[in-house]
Amino acid sequence: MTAEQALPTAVDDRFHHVGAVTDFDENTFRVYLLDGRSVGVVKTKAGFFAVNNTCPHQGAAICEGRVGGTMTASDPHQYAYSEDVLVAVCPWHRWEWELATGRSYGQVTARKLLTFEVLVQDGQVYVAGRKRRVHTA
Amino acid sequence: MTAIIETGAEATDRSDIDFPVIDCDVHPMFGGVQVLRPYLSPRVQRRIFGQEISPVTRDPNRIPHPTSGLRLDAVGPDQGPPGSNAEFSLQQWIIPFGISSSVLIPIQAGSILPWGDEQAGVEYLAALNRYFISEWCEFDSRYRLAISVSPYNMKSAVQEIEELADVPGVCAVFVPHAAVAMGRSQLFPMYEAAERHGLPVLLHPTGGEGNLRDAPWLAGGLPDTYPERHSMLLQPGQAILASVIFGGVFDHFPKLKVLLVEYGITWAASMIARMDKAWELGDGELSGLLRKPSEYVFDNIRFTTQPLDEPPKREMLWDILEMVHAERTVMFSSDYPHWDNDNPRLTLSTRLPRHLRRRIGFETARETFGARAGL
Repeated sequence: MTAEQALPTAVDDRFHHVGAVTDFDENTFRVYLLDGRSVGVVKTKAGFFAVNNTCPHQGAAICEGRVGGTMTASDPHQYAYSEDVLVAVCPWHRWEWELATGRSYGQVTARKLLTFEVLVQDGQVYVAGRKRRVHTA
Repeated sequence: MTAIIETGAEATDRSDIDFPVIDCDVHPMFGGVQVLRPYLSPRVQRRIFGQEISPVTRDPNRIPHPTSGLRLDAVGPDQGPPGSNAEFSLQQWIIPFGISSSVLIPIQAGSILPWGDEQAGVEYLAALNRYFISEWCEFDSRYRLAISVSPYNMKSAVQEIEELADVPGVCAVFVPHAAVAMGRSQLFPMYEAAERHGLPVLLHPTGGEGNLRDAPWLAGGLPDTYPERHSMLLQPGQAILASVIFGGVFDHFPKLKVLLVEYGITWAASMIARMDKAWELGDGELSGLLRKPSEYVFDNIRFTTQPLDEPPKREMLWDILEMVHAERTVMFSSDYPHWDNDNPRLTLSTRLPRHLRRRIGFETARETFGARAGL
């Protein structure tokens, strides 16, 4: 678990309750309107993540795409798939964004997908409606 | 699947676009060739359905797209392939993105390119035309169809143009690009009929380029991967441009428009300069041309935006657009529902200089299609 994922530890007034853990199917976004913004929340084997439902490339609803691992850097004509990094894949141009950081996987662009804090407490899932703060340990 | 609880309108705000948008590249599909059965003769039905011919124009065994060549989010409620449901396409694309008129290009027509039975191909295209007129154009007037004709049989191509030119919703003639130079005089009967009816002749990659028998081959060898092939799709566009210019098509048919859809734009700046240079230097084989090649391009050729090149600085693209006289030659296209479709809200705002947005988004297409644009 990264330092960013370790916080926060308490639900405060920034958070919206979005459902129970059991409401979520793995690697399938549920989309909510939070503070006027369309936000996708997804459960993965690495935990919960929340992202802005707008691809920074051309504005597609990214939560209509896929969640999973991706091809990692490898030798020519070698294709190594890994789930060490989980990405959201845009349904249009297939740009990939790291769920944990919002960074463009493979550094296709310096632009980032907005991510939001998620907190799981007593089997319930909460998402902060404003832009995620990046915490450093 | 995504559980939609609520969604925003993040991608659909078109407040910067104060004109009706004409989208010159939307792809309708049919989910299975069986929908054409009512339009086919018993002979051709037996020929097609006996062997379960697939209407796929890119050979997926040779060049698979790793995640499908279609948008992942464009599967309608009937679970048909993206582009196979006129109502869903209307709700997902035409209405929310403010498209006032869209040119339907059924690239499944390209599947006839390798067929040995020429007459079956002709009948298949005629069926395809009637199916899309019935299911799309008659469903909503924002759908305008480029009718498909065979590049192999000019008699049938002319007959199809004559039969359908006045049908409401018909806006252009789509020729699946075969390994035939488009400036050859054997194609002139089709150009003559199209010009006479005020129908632009439209070319668009079919998917067969570089992998399907009798489709245009790509120079330099067979591509290994989808991105390699995708990067080279400008080659057929270059070949078409050179052939129709130097073949004298526009000396014979000066009112004809030839539309190069999805082949790119930026390469044309270089091509135009090279063609003009060749014309200026030599008078032998080129003396037959009445005018400078660039003049034909600006008057008779139209390019479309998607996939719009995205250089590090947008001004780099703008310089090239100036070189190709984009205010006269370029029209907006999205390529919906293909995986690399462009968002009109971006293309027609920040990605183009302000003075070109209305020209590219609406006016040039309105001039090119005339009343056939339906606006």
